[in-house]
Amino acid sequence: MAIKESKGERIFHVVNVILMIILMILMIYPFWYVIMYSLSKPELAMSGGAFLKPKGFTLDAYKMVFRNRSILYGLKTSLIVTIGGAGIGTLVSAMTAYPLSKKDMPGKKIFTYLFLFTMFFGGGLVPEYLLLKKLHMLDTYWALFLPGCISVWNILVIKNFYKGIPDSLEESAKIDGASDLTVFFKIILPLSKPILATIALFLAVGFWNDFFGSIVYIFDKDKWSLQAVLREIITNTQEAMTRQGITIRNENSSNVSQKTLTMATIMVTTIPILVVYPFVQKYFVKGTMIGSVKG
Amino acid sequence: MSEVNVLVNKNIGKKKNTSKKLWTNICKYKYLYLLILPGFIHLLIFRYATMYGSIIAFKDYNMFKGIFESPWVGFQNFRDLFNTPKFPLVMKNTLIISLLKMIFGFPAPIILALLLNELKNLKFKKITQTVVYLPHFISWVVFAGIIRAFLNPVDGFVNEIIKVFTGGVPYDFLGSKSTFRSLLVVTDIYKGIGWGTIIYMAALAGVDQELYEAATIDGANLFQRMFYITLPSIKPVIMTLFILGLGGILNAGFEQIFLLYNDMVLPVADIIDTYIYRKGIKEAAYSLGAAAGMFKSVIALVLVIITNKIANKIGEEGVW
Amino acid sequence: MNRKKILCLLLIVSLISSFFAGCNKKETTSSNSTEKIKISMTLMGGPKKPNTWFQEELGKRLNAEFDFIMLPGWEEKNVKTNLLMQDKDKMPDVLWFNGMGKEYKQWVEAGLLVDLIPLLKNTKDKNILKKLTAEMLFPYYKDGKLYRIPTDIGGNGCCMTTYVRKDWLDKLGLEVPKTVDDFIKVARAFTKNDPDGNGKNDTYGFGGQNSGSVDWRAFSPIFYAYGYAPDFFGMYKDGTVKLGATVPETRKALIVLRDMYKEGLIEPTIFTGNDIGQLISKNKIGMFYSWQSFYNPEDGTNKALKANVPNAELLPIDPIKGPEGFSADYPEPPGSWCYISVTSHAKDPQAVVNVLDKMMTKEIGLLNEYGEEGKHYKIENGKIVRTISEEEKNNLGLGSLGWIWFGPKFIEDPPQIAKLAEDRAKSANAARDRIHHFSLSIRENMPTYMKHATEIDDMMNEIFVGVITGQKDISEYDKFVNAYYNKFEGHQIEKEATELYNKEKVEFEKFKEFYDKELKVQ
Repeated sequence: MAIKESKGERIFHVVNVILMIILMILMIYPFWYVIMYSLSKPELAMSGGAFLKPKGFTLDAYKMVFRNRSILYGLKTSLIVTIGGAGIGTLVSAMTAYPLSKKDMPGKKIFTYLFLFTMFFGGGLVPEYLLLKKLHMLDTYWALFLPGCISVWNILVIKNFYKGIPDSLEESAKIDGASDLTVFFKIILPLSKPILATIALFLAVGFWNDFFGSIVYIFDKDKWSLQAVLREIITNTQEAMTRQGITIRNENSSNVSQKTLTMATIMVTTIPILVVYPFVQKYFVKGTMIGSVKG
Repeated sequence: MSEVNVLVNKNIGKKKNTSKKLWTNICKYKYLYLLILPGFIHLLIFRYATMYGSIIAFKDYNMFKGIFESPWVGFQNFRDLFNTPKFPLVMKNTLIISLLKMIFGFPAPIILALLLNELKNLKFKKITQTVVYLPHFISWVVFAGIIRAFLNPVDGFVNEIIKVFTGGVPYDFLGSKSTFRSLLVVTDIYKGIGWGTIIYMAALAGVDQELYEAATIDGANLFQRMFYITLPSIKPVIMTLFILGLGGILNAGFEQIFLLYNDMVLPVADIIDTYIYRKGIKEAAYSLGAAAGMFKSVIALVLVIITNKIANKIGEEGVW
Repeated sequence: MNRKKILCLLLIVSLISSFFAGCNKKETTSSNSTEKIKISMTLMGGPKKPNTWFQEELGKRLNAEFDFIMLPGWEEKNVKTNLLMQDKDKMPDVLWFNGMGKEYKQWVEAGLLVDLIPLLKNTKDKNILKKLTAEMLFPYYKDGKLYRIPTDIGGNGCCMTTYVRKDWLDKLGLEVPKTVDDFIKVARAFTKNDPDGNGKNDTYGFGGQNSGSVDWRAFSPIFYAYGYAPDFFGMYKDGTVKLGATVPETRKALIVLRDMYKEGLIEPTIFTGNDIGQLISKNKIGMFYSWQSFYNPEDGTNKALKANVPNAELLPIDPIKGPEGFSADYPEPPGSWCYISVTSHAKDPQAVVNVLDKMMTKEIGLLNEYGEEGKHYKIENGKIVRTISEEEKNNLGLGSLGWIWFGPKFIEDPPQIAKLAEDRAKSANAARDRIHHFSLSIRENMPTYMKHATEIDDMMNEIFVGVITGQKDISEYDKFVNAYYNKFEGHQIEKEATELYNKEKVEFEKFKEFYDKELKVQ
């Protein structure tokens, strides 16, 4: 295609690129701050500032993070929970959303409202704890992702995406004798890759960042998620700051390095989940839907 | 077929036949029911089986007596909530902050998605997308620290610039009633815009490219294409997110505000959640929390249902 | 068709039943009656690592099998504790907690806690009773029962002091401030005379910590010079117990602070939130009120300051005197900020208390802090020297009993720190005499106050901060006092507080008698 751009359009593109570059600098900054902080010498970092470059340089914080046994266990838990939760959650949400997108299915309205209601009302922590106890899921990985893997928000978003898929596709398949199941798995799912990848990403990030489930439902600390482990390092830092002075002893106090340690831990726990997005982007290629329809 | 069935049944008008029709219909859709089944069972077990917990809003809840044994108090917790001296103020603040975040924060990711969509270099586009979503991963605790490092009047980066360029007095962004809400909105957008863009990018992937080509040939310029093709194509997603977003109208962002507010801006920054939190800590008034939660949920549910109705009435695609 | 229906149904049933699978499994508890007693306990301090060397060694030495349940961070520990306590199977035998006043009441009502008095009396060595004085126990003793004991006891009951930058004083040729006027003078010089010598007007005379909400302790030098801290109840001249914020002396202190702020002597983030350690180490602040531990050369803040300004020196000083010659330091409440209880989950509470009692010895204290001699530390010239790194210490689980152990001292503080602690304990006593400290520090005992606490605090903070920063006229202060009495039942609060004060004074005498007779260990 060789369609000439107008002058206005060319200016727009240039401005757009410049704008995006500025935006990128702005957006990368918090991350930069954390990295530079984590690389700084603890006693110099303590005096704060903007951290455009590390104050002093040391990898001690990272060394300490990687020597921490609980980080490795946490990584295992987080991987299991993230993959399990995102996988099951996406599949079941996609399945649930499909019937809800059908106009004339009897009971559709009741189902929709039943789901919608739970978006706003819930029983709270104690009933959920008791339920998981009854299901013998306390202290298992199930407790960390099974209750939270289905979200009404996700279902409704997927449902509305389905609506954008031309009916003609389904109808022609049905004329060929395909059942609803075949239509769903063979036509709808492949066409919904962009949204399903997005939902999987949302779920994955949510599970990866979750610390509360570990704290509440897991007694065996070796099964805590990475974020729960991280959070404890952070809160221990704050505790060292607020409660210091209770005991006065003349010995090495470790709280100087806690902050750089915190920053290093943030980096270590965040980077694995960041690399997920580029994979998701693969599904955002324009024309995915129409292309596959024709193919 | 079903159309015929309906007609036939209506003509005969007998109950027996209606139920029979329903049954045939259900059988016709059996696979759809099968598809919904896992989600539905999950719903029953993990949502409805625990739903009894929400009755604590009507009880003087004592955890160690249990939910059922705690005494009923009717609407007392709600009366207590509405009668707290600061309730009107915190309600007002919640709505203002939440609406500001909606007005400025809701369109922001859409605009960014449109701009990203126009980037021609695919690699640059991908990198930009990845970079702009980074702030989502920095927790509010760390983010608040960065905000302080930049905005504090003693040696904050921004104030150093103000001092150099205007020679003026440093401005206390965090302690100023007139700018604190703006600060909340801006930092909220800053942190969430890239993340919010993702779902629109997914929707944009589904737009038919032939439409653009045809429009271009017809002489539509870039902005016309944006307005007449791109935006309408992602309108269903926008509508869905908007309607569902209204459900969060009484959640103005507890964590962010809790970490940034202080006594100087309390009159403009105190929201329902922060107020109830302080009450819980200082007065051990935990029942208020349950009542506030229930209150917020009811408002949210009603709001979402009404907007959805309106959307459907005016011919727009609602959420359901 | 029919067959498919049945299939559908079967599928549902099997799905549901698979969810509930295992429900019928009975928990098999191994009832091996070894002589080792099993004790589960919640832990908050220390490295919070499970199954460490320390845990095992502790079990060996005390002939018990410990199950440490680590509580999560500060935000979530109450949630976790509540869940543990409402679950009869998971309830710990020994519970560490802090705050949670309302829950504590509910635990007692529900019979979840065990009365410790007879159990403590029956221990062999009575290590716990040796340490706990009548003053420490009284706040927690109610109706002849004691369901919790304070832990992590500071000992001297005070832990904050006024600091001045000695090097700044010397550079500007100033004396250590002794009165409020001196204090202002020094603050002015520190702000305006470039004490750090960088040629920039970028220092402040006075600053302090604010982590979220204004912390009136940071203003203690001025408030206590005038006699009363805003957020404390104290015995006033007229014989009633008053909230410090409402007495005329506090109004005077406010005016002093307002004038200081107006002159730019007070670092402004003291009102909006900051990290005091950061400000100090950045060489920004000349005087502040904070923990005694900053004096320790090994303290993080002190180290960071020295890294930035090698000749910097923090000097703790005596509290400054007010116009009436009064001076005092912040008095830390007696008892403690955290407690342990024994729950009804313990099958043999006496045995559990026996183990706890054996825990509060020098031997276990050393084990908890330093590990095993020869292996993890050595003694050189009578001083304990660690031979392992901080990290190894954590991995071994040393310090796990951080906020539980309170046995006899086994390490002497360096002389200057010991002296500082002694001095501050004395200077805090002046305030302690005015500020009633038994149950008044447990505010649940004052129902009317509890009803309005948030509103009173909010209004006080808003108006005080407003007045100091010049956004509000001092007449707003009078409005606050007015609202306190007319809107928030101030008279009723004072009545309740005074009654409580008088009642507890009598009760304390009675308790003291009981304590001396029954609990005191000679």
